[in-house]
Amino acid sequence: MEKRPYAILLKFPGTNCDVETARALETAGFRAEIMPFRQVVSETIEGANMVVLPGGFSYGDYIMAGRLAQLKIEHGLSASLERFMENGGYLLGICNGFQILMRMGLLPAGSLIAHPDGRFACRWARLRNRCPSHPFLRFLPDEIELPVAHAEGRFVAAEGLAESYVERGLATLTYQDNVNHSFASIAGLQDETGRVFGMMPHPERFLYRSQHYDPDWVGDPDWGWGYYFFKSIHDELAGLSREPGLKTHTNE
Amino acid sequence: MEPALLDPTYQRIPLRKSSDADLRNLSDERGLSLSLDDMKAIQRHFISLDRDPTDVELEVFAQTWSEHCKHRVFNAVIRHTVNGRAEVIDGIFKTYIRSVTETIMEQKPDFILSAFHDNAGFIRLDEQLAVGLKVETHNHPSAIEPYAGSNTGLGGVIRDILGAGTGARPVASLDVFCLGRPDTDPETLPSESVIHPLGLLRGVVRGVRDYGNRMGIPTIAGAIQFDDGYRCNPLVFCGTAGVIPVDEIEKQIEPGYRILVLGGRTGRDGLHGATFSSASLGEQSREEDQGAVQIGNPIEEKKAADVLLHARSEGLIGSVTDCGAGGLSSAAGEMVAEHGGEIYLDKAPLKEPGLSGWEIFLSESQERMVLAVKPENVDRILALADLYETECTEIGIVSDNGILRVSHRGREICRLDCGVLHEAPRQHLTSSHERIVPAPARIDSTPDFSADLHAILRDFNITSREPIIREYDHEVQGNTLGKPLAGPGGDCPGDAAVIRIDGSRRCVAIGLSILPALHADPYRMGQASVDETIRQLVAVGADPDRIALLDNFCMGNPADPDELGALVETAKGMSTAALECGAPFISGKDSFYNSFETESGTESIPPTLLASGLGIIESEEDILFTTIRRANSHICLAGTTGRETGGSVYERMKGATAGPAPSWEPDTAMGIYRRLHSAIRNNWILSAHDLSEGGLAVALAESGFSISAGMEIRLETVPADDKLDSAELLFSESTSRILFEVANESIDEVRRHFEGLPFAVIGRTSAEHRRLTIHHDDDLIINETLTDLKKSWKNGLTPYY
Amino acid sequence: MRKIVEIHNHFQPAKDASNLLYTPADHGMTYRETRRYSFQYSGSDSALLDFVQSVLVDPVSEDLHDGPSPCFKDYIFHLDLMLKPSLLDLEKEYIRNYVRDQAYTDWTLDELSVAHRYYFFGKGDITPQRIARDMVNPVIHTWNIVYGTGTA
Repeated sequence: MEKRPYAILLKFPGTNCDVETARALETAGFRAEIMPFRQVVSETIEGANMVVLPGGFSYGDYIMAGRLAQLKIEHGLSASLERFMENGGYLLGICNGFQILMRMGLLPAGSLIAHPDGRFACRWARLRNRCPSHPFLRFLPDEIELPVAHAEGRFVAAEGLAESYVERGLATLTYQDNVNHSFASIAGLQDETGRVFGMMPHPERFLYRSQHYDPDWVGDPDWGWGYYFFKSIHDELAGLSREPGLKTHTNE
Repeated sequence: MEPALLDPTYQRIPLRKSSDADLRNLSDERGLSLSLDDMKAIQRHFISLDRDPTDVELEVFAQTWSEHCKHRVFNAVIRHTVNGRAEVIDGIFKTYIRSVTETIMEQKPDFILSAFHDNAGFIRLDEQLAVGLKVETHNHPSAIEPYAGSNTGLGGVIRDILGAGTGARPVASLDVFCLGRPDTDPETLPSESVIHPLGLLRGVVRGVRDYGNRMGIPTIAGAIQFDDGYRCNPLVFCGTAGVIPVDEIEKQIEPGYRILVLGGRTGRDGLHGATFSSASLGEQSREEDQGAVQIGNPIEEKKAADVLLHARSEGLIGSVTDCGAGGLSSAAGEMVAEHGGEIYLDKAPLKEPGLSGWEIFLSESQERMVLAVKPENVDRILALADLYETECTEIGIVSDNGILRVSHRGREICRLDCGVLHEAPRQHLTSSHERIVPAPARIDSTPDFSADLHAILRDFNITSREPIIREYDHEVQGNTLGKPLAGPGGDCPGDAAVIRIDGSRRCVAIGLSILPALHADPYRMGQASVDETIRQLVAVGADPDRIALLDNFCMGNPADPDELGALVETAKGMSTAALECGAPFISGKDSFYNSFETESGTESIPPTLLASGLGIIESEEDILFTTIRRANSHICLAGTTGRETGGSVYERMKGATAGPAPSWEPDTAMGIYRRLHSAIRNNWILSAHDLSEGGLAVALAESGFSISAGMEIRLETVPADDKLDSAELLFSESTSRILFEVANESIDEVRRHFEGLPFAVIGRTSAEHRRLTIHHDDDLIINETLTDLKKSWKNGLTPYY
Repeated sequence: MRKIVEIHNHFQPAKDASNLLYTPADHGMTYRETRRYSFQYSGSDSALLDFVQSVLVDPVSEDLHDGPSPCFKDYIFHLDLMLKPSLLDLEKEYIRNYVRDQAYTDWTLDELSVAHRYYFFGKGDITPQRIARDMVNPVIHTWNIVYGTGTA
């Protein structure tokens, strides 16, 4: 009998981080399966412990990042996603997945828009872990580093909201050097339940220590921070949680 | 001569009765780019068949025989003269490229798994996997519309990888641009139809960005050459590396296999793209040739790639090739060349109704792949296409009669013998070259070497490419270990890029070299390019005996004996070096007519060679970065510095007359590379950086950009073949030199290890300061903070991009 | 029927117009970019507006300007840049495909054109001719420049 937590990765035309994200999930102990979106039905969603929206350019992102994928999900799968969340499922969006979750309104209100200089930015970003006991972040230290790669990653929201997300502990990750001019330096958000989690940085790209740009990086002898990110949620779902039953996660 | 209109789907062309003048007109009017000799050969063929060709058949000949598809210059017989001595070259390709590979195949059995006959060549990575690389040019389309040109250029070369074997997985891309200087005064451009270098730069970078990033293939390596010689004729090279299981390299095709087209639909796009790139540009080109401009749709290609790789993993693919220049005609034509086949154009999904037969067959619409599969696998592949939200359609069948037969609207519109189609008449060309080795340049320099170094670090050809590199997702797929920007701040230059390969413990390094500044001595330019490619790969940890090369040549007019002569000499130099190094060519490409006609004359590019290479790295542990890691370590230099400033950045900066180009000595080169490699495997080397443009001074400064330690150098210790002056030691661009850092505990072993080779410890790193100090005998000739040097290097392009 | 809408992201700052030129020295002018959609359609105007609001506009960051008048005032001139109809405009393509898949019953899309509009502001020396030379490629673009009410 399969005991590993089961994650499915939704693959839209243009999703392109699915393979390495599945690899990261498997390495952390998940059973991970990549599902082309056309194959996804209610049962596949509801049969998973975690649904992952990986990075990429869903349907090209030509209208705005994540818009068409958002509409396609809403047309067919809204009800099953709702049931999935009611039953305690976890929903993770990375980069383009985060953009899709924002457009779906499953995370605190705001938007991810083009950078002021109009460019794509592929670089590493230092991040503050603002929720060190969160199921996704509890194995990570207060400050980590992950790669970012996006053109539309600047978090904006109506006046005052971004700051309130930081105060209320909904902003899970913030940039240390605000690489893309996000309001309140927000790099990742969670919803009130803590089970919808979106982030611009790519934890799957820092699974192994050797993926760091500095050969003398001293953070960990074998693994990158991304490994501990996926390991955190794996252990939570596998019932290995050190602090079981956490429902909300606030800034400590 | 008015061709008779027989049917709306095709015309029959009364070729048999045509005079020479008619034949010339026909080629011009239809834009076939065929010579009179070619037209007469086609005419003779149809006289022997006792019928006239259809327009489709004529177009198929034009496309198949185009320079772009058949590399006729590289296969031509050339009467070549060097310094008055004549020789006959039985094809550049055969003599200088294929023969190298054939020789090395015998020396290194089971290393080269495929070369030249497929869309990309492959070398062995390990027991299970092979790795390949393909580089293409897309110069003319980029000159006319840079964004679209580089965009479809990258899209095309990715399809080459997808169409290699039974479908390789694209794992990394590279891009190389040759452009005019970004600060060119717009008023000095010779024609309004020439796009300013900065417009070209912005366009080509964004074109690569928008295709590569969306495909999810990391763009990890590249180069930009800024030189006035390219201001009217930009060069745009795009390359992609792919990985495939060894047992999937061989394509399989049998009579009865079904031919499918996968991906985008066919429209009136890019008609005559193959013949277009076989002609030069002129002031009218931009208006006339806009039909050749297409914008890529990377998501369409991503879906096709997903289907193809999924189908290959289920063992469903017999053969696959991309639809590039020449469209279905070329793809299906090549696919059925052995057995023959039937294509039903009515079945091809179209973007718009009303296309005639030749338009469908020759269309160069992007994002299409052609597959040949067993009949029982068709349904599963169609289902996979549906799953990934794209289209796949059966359009034909492989036959057994050796005839390519095409039908449209119930009529046979093409019936050609596959053999004849691939027998283009051989061209005969003449070339000559005067080889003069100039006297060493006397550079009149005021001895302010610090200022010179800052100026060189700011030079457009040296300065950091960071603003451009950050536009490319170079980390997608999560395998980029040797990054284009690395070191403690993630912003120092790399020598070659390194990727890990899923399913293997080995890694692959990708390096490249383009040295048009050495064009005055093309033979040495060819050698130096091969040497630099290998040197970069070795510097990051690759095994010098497991390296494969690619050649991409670009030049102006091959009918000009001097231009062709320089190309021949480049090929010779390249060939010698590759053979001596045991580095085979596995793929290559050539691009001609990179010239621009204005009222005041013709501007051609300098003959240009892009050498690129793949190297195998035995283990992740072997990967090295360029920058200094420790204080109190030793700075070592292997290789000899010569009085060879010809083509160097320093010489150009000082406006000196050209001195001799760097020479190359095979035993020293390979001796150093093998010794360094075993030292790396012994864990003795902390970091390594190859010496290239800007020479020792630039390499030292770049090594210091980690700002981890100060560097104290003594120039008189540098191994040199004569008593050189400071400028020569600092800025000469002699070949085969690598700088590396060795910890104190290993230095004795390293010294012994390099015995018998030019090697010296030229300095130390220091914890006391963060400066680069260079003494030459009693003089302190450079004393600069590394932070200041880095600032000069880092920001040279930021005002422009 | 025809409907024109213009969409502007109010979080995007005015940017230095010099960066659009081949000689990027400071020219003292700024620009703002908008997207301008022109629909040829039949059926319900409000259904089309619903479509625009739910598909083309980001409600958090963007303003919808309904109608053909320019959405900014006091600009010196504006440039409309469009891809020629024979070329693949990816945004247009994905919008059209989405509309086709949805098979709306209360309106139908007959034709769509998408322009990027650049408004230029300030007292600098960038002329429309300069902008046309440095931003337009006649091989792929159709374009026009209209003077505004702003003063240089």
